[in-house]
Amino acid sequence: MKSKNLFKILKIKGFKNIELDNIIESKYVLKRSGGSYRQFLFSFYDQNLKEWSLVPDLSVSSVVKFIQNKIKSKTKWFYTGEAYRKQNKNYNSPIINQTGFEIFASNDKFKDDKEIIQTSNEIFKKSNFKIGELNISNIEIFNALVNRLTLARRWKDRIKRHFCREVYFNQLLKKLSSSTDIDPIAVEKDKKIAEKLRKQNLNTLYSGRTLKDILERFDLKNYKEPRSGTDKKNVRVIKEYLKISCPIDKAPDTLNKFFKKYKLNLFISDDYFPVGSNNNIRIKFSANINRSLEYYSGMVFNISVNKKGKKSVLVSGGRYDGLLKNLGSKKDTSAVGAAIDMSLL
Amino acid sequence: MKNEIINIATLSKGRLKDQAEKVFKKNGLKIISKSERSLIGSIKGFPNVRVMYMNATEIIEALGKGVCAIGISGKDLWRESEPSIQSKVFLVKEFEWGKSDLVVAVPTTWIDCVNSADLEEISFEFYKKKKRLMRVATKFKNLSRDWFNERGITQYELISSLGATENSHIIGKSDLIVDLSSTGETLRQNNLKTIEVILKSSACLFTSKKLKNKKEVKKIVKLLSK
Repeated sequence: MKSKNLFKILKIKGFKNIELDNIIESKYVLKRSGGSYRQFLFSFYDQNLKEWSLVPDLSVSSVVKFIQNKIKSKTKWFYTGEAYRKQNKNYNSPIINQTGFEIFASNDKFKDDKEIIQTSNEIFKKSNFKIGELNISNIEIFNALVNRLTLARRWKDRIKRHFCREVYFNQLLKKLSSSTDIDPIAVEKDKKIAEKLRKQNLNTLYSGRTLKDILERFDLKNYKEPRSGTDKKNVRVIKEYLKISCPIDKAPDTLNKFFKKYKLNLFISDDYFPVGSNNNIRIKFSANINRSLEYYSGMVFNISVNKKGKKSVLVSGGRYDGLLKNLGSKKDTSAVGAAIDMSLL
Repeated sequence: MKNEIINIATLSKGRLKDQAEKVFKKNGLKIISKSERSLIGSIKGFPNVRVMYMNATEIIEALGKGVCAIGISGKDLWRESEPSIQSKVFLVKEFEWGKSDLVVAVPTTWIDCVNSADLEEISFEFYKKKKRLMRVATKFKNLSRDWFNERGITQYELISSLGATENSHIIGKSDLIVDLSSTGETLRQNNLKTIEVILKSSACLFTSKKLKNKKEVKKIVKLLSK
């Protein structure tokens, strides 16, 4: 498929082509991803000592543009261009071609999620691929499931927060099921130190933290919300959930049976997912998809195709309702979008 | 090529310089230098070999750039070096001396922090309550970044510290540190406790990948790695 045909599809669907800047203030990228992302940035300072970077990700750039333009109504944009990221210990090019389309101020979630998925499916239909698979999931289901587990609150938060970091997520589950990171002798020793510290002024600062914050967290870990004896079972529930993969029309039933089995008191209605079965593409619910981006907050999807015997993702996207506020929007603004791997077209 | 000079880099000062020289001596390679202060020497019986006394970090760079064929330096410095340098240096042997651990150390009063998962939560506490990133003082920025990344810690800022890193949390320069520790005594003296060891380091024998297959280089490496 030629780029102009792709752009034609997007224009027919009402998406407007926008030009994005090649540079972005580094703070926007670091706010989204924290200090660890710095290693991938090509950054520099201007004469006012403001730090800028070559744009490492066009979707973040489009979000920043939307915020800066102070648009309040629903907006449909698409963009195409180069993003620049330093590669980690391999010799891939630092230039990444990105094309994406987004709906900002998306208040009718169901309708807009459906529109993004259908537009993606349209792109797949017009591509040279005859066979593909549309995988759909929703981060909200995972979060609701974790909230129902009998885990300490801080562990629930950790697991939800690190869903997007698969390797570390698995390490967390391992830690949770083995309890090997807890040294009972050290804990008892710390409890004695805690008693001494309680007699001091709680506003005293210790390396940036007040004694009050230190003791509150210590008490939470050791007295108020210690690790429960059912952690192994909880880990099993999470792992089993992530293995669920079934045709989309069977997903509500499969998920409800799973929730019932583990007495999680959750229910998915038959019309929960924005698309049902379709003749031109196989549609599946797959719990374990699109885990690499931390800003997804709801529906996530991808369309995978086979190229030279290798499974590749042609389109990938999802809902990211929290990102705009995180990047400076004054009010909560919902958004949903997708990115296309142009090298596959 | 005949009569090509082979440069061997070794440590230029301190206790580790003596240890490194012992490795040469023990294996029948006597270093001859004009004076105590001379930074260039030779090895008896090897007319094409030049011994260069250098700073430990510069030894790794010299090996990576192919300036030196053989070198003795620390594993920590090799692992900390830029990927373009690190990938061009080959570790031949880890010695039983010059040992130290690269550790993540937090103030002893942080009794709620015993592992990386705690630290990750605390980093959010800084962001939420102090409206700033948690500060980590270190001279090992690359190794620290990798460790924080592997453990899902994103809300932090690395602060350069080239010396006396252990007191940076006391003077308010940082909240915690990543630094080398041999016995743990300096950490204890400065009210710090280790929550995790990032790397177990020691002095090592390295070769330049570009030059390691040269006949004379192979011969010397074989002798030094006995």
